[in-house]
Parts: sequence; structure tokens; C-alpha cells
Amino acid sequence: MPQPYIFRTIELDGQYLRTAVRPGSSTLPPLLVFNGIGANLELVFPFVEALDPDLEVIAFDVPGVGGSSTPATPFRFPGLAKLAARMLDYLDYSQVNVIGVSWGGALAQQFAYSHPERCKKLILAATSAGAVMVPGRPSVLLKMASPRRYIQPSHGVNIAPDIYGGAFRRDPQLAKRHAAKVRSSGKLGYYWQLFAGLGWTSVHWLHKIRQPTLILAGDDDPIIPLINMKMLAWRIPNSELHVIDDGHLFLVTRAQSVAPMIMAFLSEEKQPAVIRHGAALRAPRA
Amino acid sequence: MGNKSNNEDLGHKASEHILGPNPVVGVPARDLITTARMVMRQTIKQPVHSMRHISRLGMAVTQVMLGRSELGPSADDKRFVDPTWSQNPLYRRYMQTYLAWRKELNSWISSSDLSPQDVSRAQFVIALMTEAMSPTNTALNPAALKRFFETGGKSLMDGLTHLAKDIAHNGGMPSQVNMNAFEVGGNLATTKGSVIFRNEILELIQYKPLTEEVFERPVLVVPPQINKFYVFDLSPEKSLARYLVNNNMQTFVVSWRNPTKSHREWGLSTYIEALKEAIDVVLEVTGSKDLSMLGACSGGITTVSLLGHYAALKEKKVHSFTLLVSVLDTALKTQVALFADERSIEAARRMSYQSGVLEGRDMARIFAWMRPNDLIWNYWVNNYLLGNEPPVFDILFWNNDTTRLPAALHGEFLELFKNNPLTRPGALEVCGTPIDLKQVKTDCFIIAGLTDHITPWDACYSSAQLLGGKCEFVLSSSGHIQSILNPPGNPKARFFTGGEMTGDAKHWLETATKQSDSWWQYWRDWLHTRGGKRKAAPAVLGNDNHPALEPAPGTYVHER
Repeated sequence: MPQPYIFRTIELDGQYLRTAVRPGSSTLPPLLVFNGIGANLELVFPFVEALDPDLEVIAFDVPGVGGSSTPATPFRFPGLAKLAARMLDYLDYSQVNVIGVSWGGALAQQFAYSHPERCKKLILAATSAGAVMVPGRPSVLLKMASPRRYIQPSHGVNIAPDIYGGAFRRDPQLAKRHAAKVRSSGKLGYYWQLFAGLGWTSVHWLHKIRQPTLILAGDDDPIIPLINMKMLAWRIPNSELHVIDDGHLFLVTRAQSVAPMIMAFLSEEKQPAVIRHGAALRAPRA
Repeated sequence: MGNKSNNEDLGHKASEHILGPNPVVGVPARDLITTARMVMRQTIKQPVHSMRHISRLGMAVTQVMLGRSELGPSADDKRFVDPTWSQNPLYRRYMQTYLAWRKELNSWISSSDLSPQDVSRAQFVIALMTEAMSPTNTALNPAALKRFFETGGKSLMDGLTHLAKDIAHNGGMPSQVNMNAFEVGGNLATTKGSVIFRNEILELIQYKPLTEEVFERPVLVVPPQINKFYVFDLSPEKSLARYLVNNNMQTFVVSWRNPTKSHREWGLSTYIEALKEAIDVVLEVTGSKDLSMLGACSGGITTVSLLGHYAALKEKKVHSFTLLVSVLDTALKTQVALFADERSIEAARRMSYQSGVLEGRDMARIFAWMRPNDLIWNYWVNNYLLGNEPPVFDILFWNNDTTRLPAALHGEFLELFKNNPLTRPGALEVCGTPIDLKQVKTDCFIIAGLTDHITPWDACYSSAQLLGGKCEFVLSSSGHIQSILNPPGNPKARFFTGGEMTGDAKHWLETATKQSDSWWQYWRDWLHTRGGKRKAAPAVLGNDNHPALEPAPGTYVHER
């Protein structure tokens, strides 16, 4: 039985962060989720529930999203990665596995690079190397540049097929359900998030991300064309790429088929060998 | 003609020295460079000492130039056998200058004020340099010049072709063997049998009995996780598997899968769980309630951990076991351990975890540099300077058919190597149970090789002391691989038995009896006395639950 989420809002230097932890009994390091732009933590719940019930999962609202406070000044990715590391200190986690989706994928790359000791394995879904990328169609990007879909859910339902692609093109109900979970906290937070990505790129240090990395890409992703994910896979040395037959939000729409892939990637031995240290005592001679 | 025999010699010489399956530390190049720097600094740190050696070298070279020097290569140095080196005055002086330089460098470093460990590291680095700069490795090598004139220049063309091929296909290392001359399942690993069980990690091969009657108790062979299993079934005459089926044993061999990146997390526990499944299948198929096992090298470590695990569970599925060139007590250091300090072990672990596997090819390359004369420069001369094909030699083919090692297992082997937990009860825990080797009360047979420099025989001997059962220790006169491939009928083979197990290894050897021929026969008799009753050999391989899936050597062995 999966355990209920534990919500806590913590304060780090005047910045309030809303966090949710689904406790787990697994021996695996917990999974920290970096969510997409403007997306509050509730949006990943369907995905979390598709994962193994005993896996511990940590999600949070980035500053300016959902239940976290909106800072007065903009921020950049390295600062956010540091904030995430401090959040882990506060919640008392030493090492985690990290999954980053879309905008959160950029933050995940930054986190894995800036805090390698905190991040054991890395999963990147529907994301890119930032400014050095092959952009999606301009009409799509324009729709993305505005937080309107989060502020006015009906608008989100209308544009979902164009921006998310994949299953959203086929099933209008999906967009309605997705829109129902949206908790906006205003335009400013969204613009701060956009600003963080302005001019940011990981292309010059991707080869230094040494963590085992799983890269998941949708083949019908209007926002981030597949070629970007191929480039990530090419630059990150210990990575493997899986292409999924879906759009931008396959973590939500394809949760049932993507979750086992992710679990297989994260899995470790159930009872690994334990080797205890200590001075070698010579066994007494028989 | 002369070429052919020369070629065979080359292969045999190399196979004496192939480092074979040994899951240890890589030597990061960084450490070599640090050591080289240390050597350079030493020249300045002890100027008087260094000057003294330089002047001694000057005097030695003067003697050489005047033709009064008696310097000559050591008896086991086969590089300078060509009479030109000793009879042509110019060549003689060239060789002697080289020998004098090498000798003086070594005496300078060994009498310096560095710590003993730094001295051995420095000696290693200096040897790398001096072996590389041997006059025999240059185009002036008289044998190469002769070949050049004999073949009208063709040898040079062939040599350059080989060099180009190796740069393209062999990471710039001289090929040790002609890889096209063999085929697994074609002319290697040909003993008849079937895969009767397969899981993610291993295939279980049952060999077809070749006798009317068999002993009730089967034997299961657990090969190392590095390199392929067919060292136990190499060629029809060099096959332990065939020898066993010829001698009334129901024989099963494990063939490990060659892991890829996605098997990063396979560790000792995973391998032991897989073995437990295989053991249950063997017992079910043969109807026996227990079996005999053989573990070789790292497969021996795995087998012993499994036995400790069984002892903790009070399982009695293993009646007797055999350890072949396997070191459980890593307190005694080998050459490989020279660079194995905390930092390099950690680095090796981290690197293999990140990439998911340790590449067998990289491992083989590191080992080749541990014995550069036998494994690199010999081939350099043969393939490039003389323009010969690399030898056709099955052992070398097997050694070059490398496998990867999953990161978790590699990390655990490194930990074992560093912390030596098998010597302390409860210090190692696998599959959730702590292990105490003294609780392993089964009879065991332990074989080591006298000239084995990978798993030195005294380390194997002290490993024998860790076990709780009745131990028979046997010492073969060969090296690491030759100890395994030891078919009867070799007039040169010797082995020692029956020494006193109460003292140290030296004392054991002094009190042991020397016997001629191969330990295989002696071991066969040991197995037979523990084989139970005789019964009619089974007509089919496998059973209804585990039918024969495909003929030996199976699928996993072909995964490159």
C-alpha cells in the first residue's frame, strides 16, 4: 500500500517552499522530482502513483509556483539547484535520484552537475540543453511563453493538443483532467521561471555529468523536438535514450508504461553484499 | 618452418603470463604519471647519490666501448638470442650500453631514500620505460633486418599492414592472436551437451555422459565472471569438462552472461541467487540430494560466499567443493596491488559505476602493461618488425575473448580486496546472511599454481586455512591458466600433495610429496571417493521441467 503524501511548507531564508513527500520503505535512494514550467507538484501525482508503491518520492513547488512564495527578484538555475540541495538538507536526505521534466529537466541537469555527490542517478524527460537547442514551432513556443493556460484552465484545454502533442491530440478528456489539477500562483512566478531559462545552456558542461542517466523522449513533442534529446544522449557520457510514442507530457499520459522503465533504471539489488571494515584479524590457525 | 615454431613459442610464452581472470584494480594513468614525477624529483632530491650512479654508469659505458665489459642478458631474457647481439662488435656495444643503463637505473632507485612501496612503484615505472626502449624493439633489430632482406622488403610491408590494422581494430595494441583462426562452438568448446536452464544471469550446461555408469553425485563448475566459461572446454584435448564426463562424472558448467550497462547493479548477491537456482536445477535433474562444486578464481570467491550463505541457512546442498587458483585472503599483496591505494580504488569503483560495467578489454590492456615484454614487445617485434602473423593459439584466443564485469560486482570485489572480510567471521554479508567460513564444514580440495603471479600460491594456501572443513591442498607446477588447463600426459607437469597444513606455506612445500603428471587424475580420485554410488548414465539431458533448450556452448558465450 502506498502511503499518503506528507505536505510541509518549509522556510529557507524568507523563501517558502511547499514540499510533498510520499514516504516509502524501499532501500533505493528517494526520487526527487523537478517539475515543468508553471506546474505545481500535484501535477506529478499520477506519475508518482504509477511508480512502485514503496519508492520514496519528493516533489516541491519551485519559487513562484503553486504553494511556494514568489521571490521579489528573479533567480537562475545554479541558485535554484543550491536551493534544492538546501531543501534536501532541511528534509534530511543525503543522496537522491533525480528526475527532471521539461523546464525541470534543465534544473535537474544543473543539480546533477553542481551537486554530483547528492545525485546518484539522473532521469531527464522531454527536456533540452537550454539555449543551444533546436526550437519547436514558433506558434507553439508563443503559447508556451504565456502563463495563461495555468491561470485560465479552459484556455489550457483548448491549446493542449498543440503544445503537448501525443495523447492530448486524441483525448480531450485528458486536458480537462490535467487542467483541473492546476493551482496557479500568478503570472510573475511563471515569468521568473522563463527568465531563469533565458540564455541558460548546459551544452558546454554536459560531458561532465557523470551520473548514470536515463533520457526519455516523446516522438511527437511539439515543444521540444526529439533531436534535442538525441543531442543530450550524445553529450552525456553514461546515458541511454528511450523514445516513447507520445507527446510532451508522456510521464502523465503514459505513466503506466513509462514507470516500469524508470523503476528498472533505478533498481538495485534487494540484498546487496555488505562488507564490514575493520583491521584484518588473521583467522586463528587450525 | 623456423617461423612457425617461433610463433608457437611466442604464444606459449604469452600464455604463461596472461593475467587471466582477475577482478582487481585498474592502474589509473594518473598514478603512473605521479610516480614518474616522483622518480624525476628524486634525481634532484638526492644529488650526490644520483651523481654517484651517473658516474658509475659512465665507467660501465667506458668499459663497454673498450670492449672489456662482461655484461650480458640474463638467462631468461630471450630478446637477445640472435647471435648478432653477442658477435657483432657494434651490436654488442649497443646491447651492453642498454643493459648497463638499465642496471644502473635500477640500483639507483632501489638504493634511494624512498619508502619501500614508492621504490616498488618507481621500479615498475622504470621497467615500463626501459623495456620500451630495448634495442630489440627498434628497426635495427638484426632479426628484422634479416627478414627484410630475405623477403625483399615484404616483411616491412606486412608489418606496417599489421600496425595499421591494430591501430584501427585493437586500440593500438599489438594483436596477441589471430582471432579469425577460431570459432567458439566450431573448433573450441566442442564437447557435446545442452543448455538445460537459463536465467537473466547464467546458462546451465549439462554435458552428455560418455560412460555407461556415472556417480550419483554431480559436479557443478563455476567459472570466473571474467572471460568466458570455455576455459573448461577449450579444445578436445584441453577440456576439463570432457575429462570429467569421460571419468564417470555427471558434469554441469555455468556459462555467465556477458553483462551490459543495464546490468550495472548486479552484485555478489545477484550472482549467488542465480547460482542457487542453478544448483536446484542440477539437483532436480540428477535426483541427487547434494552435489560437488568447483569454483575458479573469482568464481571461487562467489562459490565460497554461497557456501557461507548455505552454512548460515543450515542448507546441506553442497557435499564437497574445489577451489581452483582462487584467493580468499587478500592480505598478501601482488604486483597488481602496487597502485591500489584508497584513492585509486575509490576512483576505479566510481568510474565503473558510472559507466555501468568494467570493460574486459581495458582490464586486459592494463594487465598487458604489467608484463610488457611477454605481452606487448614480443608481439611488437613479431607482428611489426618481422612482419609475421600473430600466433594461432587457443588459450590466447580465449584470453582475448574478454567479458565485461557489472559495476556493482566490480565494486564489491574491490572492497573484498581492500578489506579482506572473508578472514573475519560476519564481516561479509551476502543475500542477507552474514558469513563465517569456519562454519563451512564440507570437505574441500584446493589447487594453486607454483608459478602463478595472479593468485600467488601462498595466498591460496592461507585461504585454505580459513575454511572449517577438511582441506586437501594441492600445488601444481604451472601458472594461473596452465594450472586449470592441465590435461594428463604432459611429461613436464608436476604437482605436490600431502604437506603439513600446520605451518606456513613454505613449511607445507618442504613436507609435501612431488608427483608427476597432472593433478586432474588425483582430483578425479578425490571426487570419486565423494561421488556416492554408481548408477546407469541418464539417457537424456535435462528432464521434463528443464528440457534441453539448445546444444552447448549455448547463447551467452557468443555475446561480445
